Amino acid sequence: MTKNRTALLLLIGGLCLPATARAAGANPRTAPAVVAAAEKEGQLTVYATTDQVVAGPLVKDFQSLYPKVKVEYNDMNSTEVYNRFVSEAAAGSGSGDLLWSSSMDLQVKLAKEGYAAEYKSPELDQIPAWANWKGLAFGTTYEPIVFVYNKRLLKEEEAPKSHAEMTKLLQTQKDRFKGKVTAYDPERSGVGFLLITQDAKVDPAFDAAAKAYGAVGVKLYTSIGAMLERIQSGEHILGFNIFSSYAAAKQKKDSSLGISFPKDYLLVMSRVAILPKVGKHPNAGKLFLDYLLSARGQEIVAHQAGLGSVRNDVTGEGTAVATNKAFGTAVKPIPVDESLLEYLDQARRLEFLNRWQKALGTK
Amino acid sequence: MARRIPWARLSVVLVSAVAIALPLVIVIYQAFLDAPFFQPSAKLSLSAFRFVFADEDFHRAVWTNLILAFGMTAIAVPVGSAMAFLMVRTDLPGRSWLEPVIVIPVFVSPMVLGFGYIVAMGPVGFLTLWWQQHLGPIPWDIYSLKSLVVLAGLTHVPMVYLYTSSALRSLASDLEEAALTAGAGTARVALTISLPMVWPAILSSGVLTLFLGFELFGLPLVLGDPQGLLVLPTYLFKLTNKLGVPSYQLMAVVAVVIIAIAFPLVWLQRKLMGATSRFVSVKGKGQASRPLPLGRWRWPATGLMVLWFIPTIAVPLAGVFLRSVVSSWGEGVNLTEVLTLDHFKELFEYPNVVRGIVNTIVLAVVGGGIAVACYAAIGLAAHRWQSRWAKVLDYLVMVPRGMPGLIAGLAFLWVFLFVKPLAPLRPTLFSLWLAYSVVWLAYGMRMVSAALLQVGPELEEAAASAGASSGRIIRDVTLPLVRFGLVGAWLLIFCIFAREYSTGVYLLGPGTEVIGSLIVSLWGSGALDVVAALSVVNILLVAVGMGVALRLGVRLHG
Amino acid sequence: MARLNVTEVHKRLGGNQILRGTSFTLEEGEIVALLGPSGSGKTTLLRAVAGLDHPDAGRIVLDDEVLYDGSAGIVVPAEKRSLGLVFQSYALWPHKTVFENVAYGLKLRKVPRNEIADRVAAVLGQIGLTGMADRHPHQLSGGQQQRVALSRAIVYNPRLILLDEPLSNLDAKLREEARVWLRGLIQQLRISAIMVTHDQSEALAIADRILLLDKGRIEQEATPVEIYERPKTLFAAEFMGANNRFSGQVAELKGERCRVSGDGWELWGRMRGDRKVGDRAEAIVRLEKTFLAEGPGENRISAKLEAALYLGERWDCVFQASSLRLRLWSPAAPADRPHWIHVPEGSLLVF
Repeated sequence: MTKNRTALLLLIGGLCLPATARAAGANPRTAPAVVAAAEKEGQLTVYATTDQVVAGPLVKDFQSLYPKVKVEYNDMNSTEVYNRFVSEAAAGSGSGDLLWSSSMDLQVKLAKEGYAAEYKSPELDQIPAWANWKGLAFGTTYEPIVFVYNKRLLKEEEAPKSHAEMTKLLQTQKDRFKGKVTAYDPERSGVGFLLITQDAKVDPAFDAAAKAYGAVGVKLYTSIGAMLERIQSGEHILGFNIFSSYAAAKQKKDSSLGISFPKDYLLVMSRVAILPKVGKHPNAGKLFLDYLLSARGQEIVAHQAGLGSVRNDVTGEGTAVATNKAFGTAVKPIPVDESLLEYLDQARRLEFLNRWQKALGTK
Repeated sequence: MARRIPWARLSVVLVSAVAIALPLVIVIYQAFLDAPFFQPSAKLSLSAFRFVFADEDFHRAVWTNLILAFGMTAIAVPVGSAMAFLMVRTDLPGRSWLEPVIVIPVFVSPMVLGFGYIVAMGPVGFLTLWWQQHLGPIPWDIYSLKSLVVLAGLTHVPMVYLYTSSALRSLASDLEEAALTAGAGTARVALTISLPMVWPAILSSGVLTLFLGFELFGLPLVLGDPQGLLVLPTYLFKLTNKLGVPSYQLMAVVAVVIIAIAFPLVWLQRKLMGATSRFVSVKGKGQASRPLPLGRWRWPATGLMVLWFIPTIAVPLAGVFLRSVVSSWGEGVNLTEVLTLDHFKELFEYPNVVRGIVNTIVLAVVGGGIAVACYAAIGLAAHRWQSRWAKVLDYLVMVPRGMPGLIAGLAFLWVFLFVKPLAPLRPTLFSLWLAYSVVWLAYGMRMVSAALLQVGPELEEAAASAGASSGRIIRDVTLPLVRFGLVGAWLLIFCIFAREYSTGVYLLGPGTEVIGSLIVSLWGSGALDVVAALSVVNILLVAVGMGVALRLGVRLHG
Repeated sequence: MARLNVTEVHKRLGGNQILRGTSFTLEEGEIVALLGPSGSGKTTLLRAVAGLDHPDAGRIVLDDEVLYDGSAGIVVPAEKRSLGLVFQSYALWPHKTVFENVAYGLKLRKVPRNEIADRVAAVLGQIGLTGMADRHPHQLSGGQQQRVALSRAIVYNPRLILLDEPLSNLDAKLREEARVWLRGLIQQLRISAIMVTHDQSEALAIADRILLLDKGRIEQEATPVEIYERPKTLFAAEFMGANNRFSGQVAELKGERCRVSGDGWELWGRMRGDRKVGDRAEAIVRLEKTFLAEGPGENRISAKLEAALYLGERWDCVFQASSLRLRLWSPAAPADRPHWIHVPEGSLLVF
């Protein structure tokens, strides 16, 4: 995919060139008082699930804009972000100034439970409504959920272009795909659960699809790394519900990976940022959020970090604008709102898992 | 003396008790609540127990875990004790360089081993492909429970080996020679004299292996993932997400279950170790032991060693090394075309990885040294102390064995959060150091007390009657005599700290990154090529440590 | 004035009563041997004096200093007792040279460095180890190690030296030489010594006085000559020397003289116990007091030669006399004919 080649070049460029040498989008429009207060705080602690290497260009650029605010960037997995935050908040020992996690439901849960500070970011005017929940939680990226396949074992023209095609492919070539399909395990992975419930919501043929997955004995993993590694090696041929961002990054290193954007419906997830009330540097948190949502920040999010821009006014490969243009109404962004909390109810969750396992035929 | 209060000793007991009990108490307390302990709404309740005990996955995990634990014990004990006999009591060729090789699995992270197995023996692993090309269908499925049992068994052979070999070493060779002259062959001597004499040691290593089977995390996590194989520690991991929100009380219940299984086993093992000293009447008193001739068994015996070595060490390590230098692998990939050193270069793009490598070295070298000093202090406190406090201390140091590293790590996070005086130390390496030192306390104490036991009591009594106080005795006699043992313990703890992975996950942060925890975290985010390169760095680091240890003539056995 | 006074010492270890109210005294400059079979409590007694084991009750006083008093709760730790102790295994510190081993006690006593050097050299010279100061223990022979252990114990002029089986690790010939040398040295140093041994000849040769222990009690306390020639109890008589033993009945009692008879024999001896006519009694005679005789007579038993073993300076002969099995030493091999065995009345001790 050329999009990814470009991103790779930009990524390499970003690592080599000083941040100021790049053409950048408009700077964040943070109120001068907040900037001054943030600079006085002088520090910012981010807890994030985004890898440090991926987030590197963002942090670097932010740093060049606001050299007085030192960024302490911690990457960990989404459970750890949550565990650490709630423990630290309870201990009253301060915590992150900004939580930036791919676990959308846990972020909204924290916001709903009153952990998040409300902030009317001046950048919100260019952010779609589904990505802003009451000024408490904000979608910051735009990451389509795609199919990934091994090009050595599955030709590009064979690769499914929609969920319906996927189901059909598995039904018709059951033996070929026996044990060769992979996805997140909704039972063991929060992200996996989120995605599969969205599938269930959006796809009227979900039960048939699940049955097809079950019939080929889909292999369910807890980590994206394990999934991509096994598709690369050919142990698995095809994977679904995979973040395009991770797949694209991997594809840059290994051309044997193929990526397919399903055309019938394209789920899009977004990394959610919240500003915890217990943060010790609230203004620095606001400053970083504004930056993250600004045109300048989103340019880097899309073109260097490869996470996709959520803004209405950032264009080019890997942006909401481009994706919407290509896929139209098939695009189904997962909204940042209370609907995410539906399955955090223990009984509802177990009930869904039961349905899923029944459909798979493992129960 | 009898009536003087031994303050120094008592304070050591107190400090270790606090360090050990704090995380444990938090975990147990949490198990009996219905919400995270720090939430004001948390109430005492058995609901967490009810949920876990009613969960089908829990039943499955217990059952699988039983099969795994007993299965791996059934493999590790006979192989380990046979190898111990061959290494210690016979003229097996190449014994001197084999010993460090045998203990390698102890010092390599099981995550790394598991990853290596997938690259080598997975459905499209290089060994699998080669086999399919030349020998036909592969007879193994690396993800099956059977494979897990076999691999766990083989990688735990060193545990049995370490215990049995040190017992065999203290066996006087005249006992065997008596049997030899009576007309018994070497194999018969082994089966009727040597091994029965060290039976309690073998049994106790068996109990230890059984117990380790219940806290096995890395291998089942990596190899059991695709089949959804669950054992207790991975079930615990699964609980993190099962309800969408991390449910500490459920995790704590599983930890309590593991501790409840582990504790009686630990106790049993202590009893058996006690029996060993009674059984082995001859104390290694400078008696040179002469190796038994293997004769025509020489080559079959060598064969056994090789047979163990290839699947346990050569294959997984080759897998990891290979993965670290290719950009792609598997079916249809010509490995010579994808060779690259990029993954190693990429390591240095991650600022936290570079810090992690430095931190690991600091933690392993300096932290390992301080940890051994603490273990030695505890060992000396209990040394020749006729008091029930010594017994208490004896059991106390075994307690942390019962806590899986992951839980211990989380518990220590809580300790550093909620024990206010400790809070400023959390973002420093001290937090990791304390967690590591407590988690590996039992292991370290075993090495330290083994060294202390080698000091004849009369050497210390001689100093006492010459007029030396207890402090002087320790300084002038005991410590100089155990210094090699302590240096040895330091190097082994270095290797262990360098490979430890699960304990540090929750304490990971800027300034506290270590290789092991980074591997776990990178594993999740998909950078497996970086994981492979980092694993190689980790293995080389441990190898350097081992090399230095052997250079200095450290004996790997107690 | 009595230097060491041990009174009514009790010690229980596990379920065993090791010492049952043992008492003894040690005079200035005296060498006392604690003699007894294994398990008699002799080593425990020595360790109690040294302060390495603490008794459950009793009192140990050295000069005027109470080292241990069970009822008063006084326990002076080993390092404060200033005694010299020589271990059976020597317990030389393997990481220290001979010099450092010997100098250690002086160093602890903060003796100036040059004085330490002089005193160590002197004691090593006295003991015949000049020139060995820089060696490590493992470079020495067993005899040399033993002497280093002794030097280490005496260099700081202890009030008392305690020797635990000091000669048992030496080979037979060396041991005989060492006896003479050890006794000479202790006398020359004019210090008091307690020696634990299970070897009666060692005790007889070295000690001024022997305490014979059995099952945690003192059986007899006497000079070597007295304990050998006039044992007070059957145990003492049997423990010392090599003996013939007759089990029978007291047939007649005339003051100290008594007649003991058994199945086909009858002997006159000296009554040492308090048996009466008709009581069962044991009669003991040392082998060297058992003789071959030409013909029948009083205190003689007819016997048949079973075996004769050549020991170089003598023959060790075993005879069968009705139900008895008797041994004696003979300068020449007995001929193969009927014999009579003579037991002098004064040598047969009846208990």
